[in-house]
Parts: sequence; C-alpha cells; structure tokens
Amino acid sequence: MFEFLALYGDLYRDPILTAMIAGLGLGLLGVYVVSRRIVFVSAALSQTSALGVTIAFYLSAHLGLTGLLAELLAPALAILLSTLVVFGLVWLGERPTLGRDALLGVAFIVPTALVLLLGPLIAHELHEVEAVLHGSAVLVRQSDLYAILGATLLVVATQIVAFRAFVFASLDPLVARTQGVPVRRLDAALFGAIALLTGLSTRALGALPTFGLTVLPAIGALGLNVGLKWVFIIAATSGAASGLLGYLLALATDWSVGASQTLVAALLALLLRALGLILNRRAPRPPASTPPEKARRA
Amino acid sequence: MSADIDLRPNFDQPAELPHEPIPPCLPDDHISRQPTLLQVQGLVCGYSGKGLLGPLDFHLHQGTFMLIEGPNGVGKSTLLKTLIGLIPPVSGRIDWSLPADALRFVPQTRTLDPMLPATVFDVLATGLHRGRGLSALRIRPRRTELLDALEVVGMAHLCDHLFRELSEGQKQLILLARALLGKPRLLLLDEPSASMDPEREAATIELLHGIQQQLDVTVMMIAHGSALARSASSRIMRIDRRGHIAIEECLKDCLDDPHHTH
Repeated sequence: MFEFLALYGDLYRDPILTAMIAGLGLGLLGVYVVSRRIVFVSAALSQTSALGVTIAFYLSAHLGLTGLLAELLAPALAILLSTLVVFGLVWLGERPTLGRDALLGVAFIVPTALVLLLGPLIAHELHEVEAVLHGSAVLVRQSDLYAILGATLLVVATQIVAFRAFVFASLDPLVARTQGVPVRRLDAALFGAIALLTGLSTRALGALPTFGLTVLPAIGALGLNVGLKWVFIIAATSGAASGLLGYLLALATDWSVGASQTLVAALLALLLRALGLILNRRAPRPPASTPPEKARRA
Repeated sequence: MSADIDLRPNFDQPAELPHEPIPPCLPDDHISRQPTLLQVQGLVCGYSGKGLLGPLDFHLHQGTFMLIEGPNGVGKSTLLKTLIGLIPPVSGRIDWSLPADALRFVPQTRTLDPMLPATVFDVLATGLHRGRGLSALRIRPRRTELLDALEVVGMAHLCDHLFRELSEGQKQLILLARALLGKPRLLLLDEPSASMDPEREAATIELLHGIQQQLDVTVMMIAHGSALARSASSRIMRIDRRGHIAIEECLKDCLDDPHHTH
C-alpha cells in the first residue's frame, strides 16, 4: 500500500487531507450534536446540502455554466440551504409549539425526495450526484481542501476562544442566561458552524461520510469518562483518523470511500465505547459524603 | 469569597436534627432598615400570556432569608424564573435595585444535561462567566479559586470527579459553590434540598444560613414544607393550591418555635 501511496501520493493527497481535516472539524462539532440530542440536525443538514449540490449540477448542466462560477455554485448552494434550515431551527426554538423535530423531518425528507427527482434530469452528472450522496474521491478539488481547512480553522479557533461559554450554553442554558451569557447567539454560531462545515464537507466528501464523521466519533468519545476537554480532543482526533483510514481502506479494497470512512468511524466508536466500559469499571467511585443509605431509610 | 470563613457542613455528624442550633434570624426591625433589593408590584406570572400566579406585591430587603413554600404546581419555580427574567411576566412590575451580576440562581440539579461528561471543575468554572461582552465569553478558571469555592461547601475532594456521577445532594452543593464564585449579593435557590436526606438537608440549611450571615448574602429559596428551612427564614411566602399568597415575617426568636409567625 505504501508503494501505491508513494506512486499516487500527489493524486490522493488532497482527498486524504480534506477527509482528515473535515473529520477533525466535524468530530469536534459532533460532540455538541450528540450530547444535545440534535443528531437529526446533522442528518437533515447533510441531505439539505446534498440537495444544494445537486441543484448546482442541474443548473450548471442546463445553463452551461463553467469555470469559477460553476465551481462555487455547489458549495454556495449547499451552505445557503443548510443555513436556511439553521435559521429556521433557531427561529423555531423561540416558538416551542411548532416543534424543531417537525422542521428537521421536513429538512430531511424533502431534500432527499428532490435529489432523487433531479438525478434523472442530469443524466450526465448522475455519477456525481451519487458521489455527493455516498462519498467519492473524485469529487475533491484543491478549492474544497482550502475551503474545508478555512472552515475547520474557524471552528477550532472559535472553540478555543469561547470553549467554556459554548459548554455552559449546552450544559446549563438557564443559568447561563441569568449570568449574561448570550445563549441564543452561541447556539446560532454553533448551528452556523455545523451548517458551514456540513455544506462544504457534503460537496467534497458526500452526505453519508459527512453525517457519519459528525456523529460516530462523538458517540465513541462520549463513552469515555475523561472530562470535557479530552472528549472534544478525542472526538476530533477520531474523526480525522476515520477520514484518513477510511480513505486508505477504500484504496486498498476498492470499496466506496464514503462507506469505508463511515465504517472506520463506527469501528473506532465501538472501540472507544469498549475502552470506556473497561476504564469505568476500574475507575474509583466518587467518595460518599452523604450519610449512609440505611440512615436515609431510617 | 474566602475559604477562611469555615462554613463547611459536617456530614459525619450523628443523625440528630439540627446538628447545632442555628443562630436566630435577624430581628425584623434590623432587616427593614436594610436597603430594598427587590420591589414587586402587581406581578402576575405564567406562560404564553396566561396567568398562573398573582397578582403579587412584595419587597425584599438586604439580609433577608426568604422562603417560598407551597404545594407542587402552584408556580413557585415560575415565580423565581420570572423574577430573574427567564420567563416574561404576564403583567406587573419587577424592580431590582442591584446589578444583574450580583444575583446568582441555583437551579435544581436535573436542569444540567447529564450527557456531557463535565467534571466538577468544568461545572464550577461556568460560575466565572459574568457580563455580556465578547470578553466575557472567554474565561480562565484558576484551580485554586475553584477549590476555595468547593472548600466552602466541603466538596473540594470531588473537584476532578464527573458531575453526573455524584449524588443529588453533592450536586446541589456543587451548584451552590458555583453560585458563590460570582460573589453574589442575592442567591435564588430552587428547592436546594429537594433530593436530600434529613441530615444533609439540615447541614445545607445550616450552610446557607452561615453564608447569609457571614457573607452578607440575601437568600430567596424555594423549599417544600421544610420545618428546618422555615426555622432559618426571616420571611416566608406561602402559596396555597388556589394561588392565594400570604407573606409572614418571622419573629426574632422564631428558631425556638419554627411555626411562630406574625
């Protein structure tokens, strides 16, 4: 495999780097997605982004768009549509009677149906539409790498600067509001970051690995009782490793890239959960400072 | 806040209630000479414009230990959340004469999401957030400062443990320590002893009383028919099932007779 990589290193460098960087950013944001029980947000955003990319292919094919405009159209539409969903979610958050899950259902089902409808209309790009849904190496371009690198750096920098504020807004939003923390703005920033990275990653990697790299590394890392900072670091590392190893697995086996990355992420998640179970059994319990149970019953 | 003031509850005491006599409440005339922190006029609390409780008229002087009690579902927590701006009032006025930073809310432990594996350190660090600017989003928690706060509630040994693995009583004391980090002038507590056994409840009420007396913190607390909480209070707001409200001032020697009010 190493000979193969040396031979084709230049060819596969950008897709591999893109997958690793996207995995890192998505894995980090995934901790919020999983712990806040908004996994369906990620699924809906992946599908919405996939619709944006498909519409871009359709428009490019039918309007004869070429060059920079054609290149920018797909990520721009993916980010635009997913941002609309995010703003819808934030808006609905203030109106509990409407229900976020209903909007998420719509944001998942309707784009999926539209992608299936649009696919046959752009027969020449049908393989690219499939690649957008399931993931493929051929989609990744240098511009995708730079866009995902920029977005991931933005996400990481934001988290470093306001990590504890984001955690506070997720962990205890009521008290955070009483202490002046702008919970709603932080939520909008968080959802915006998820929309941005999901949009770019769906264009470059596909909807399936984008969803997989968001959810699976976080599920694994949250199984370890290691404190918040380490959970984020482990999820980001696991996401990056899944992007890399999944790609190498696909190269070695000729499997689908997106499916391989998702399977590797699932395997790593399983290993982390198993490790968490073992470590938790060995870890000392918190010392009791309460009166004994029998006194309580008495 | 200083760890020099030893307010630590001693949970190893034998199960006699209370552990030690709580010092008497401040006399009425002393409290009434203190500045007014809160003035409430014609307040109606509720949701979506529908009144649940009120109209309410009351004030809160600095140094008061105010207890709010009543059966489940009458709107005690709604009242507290309305006072601190988490729920908009249906009608009426709420006038605070202290800055928002000087007020700290201690919620019930179940409001904290257990999915995030936050350590006690992580939870406590959130108490350092104050103010509204961008700079307020970035905090640098110092371990010694957090340990000092934990020391006050006797929980310093739990600093690196996961918050979700602690008992409900331990969690409640951690949340109290977090509130104290903000150096509050007013503490609002939503049933702090709801999930505690009698010994821990006694120690916690004693601790709160000590905080009120020694750190000059005004306390407004919801409790569920607790004679101990009543005994420590200088003012009691009772809400009955029909939403009727009665405010009673405790006499100076109320601790000798927890039911003695005028």
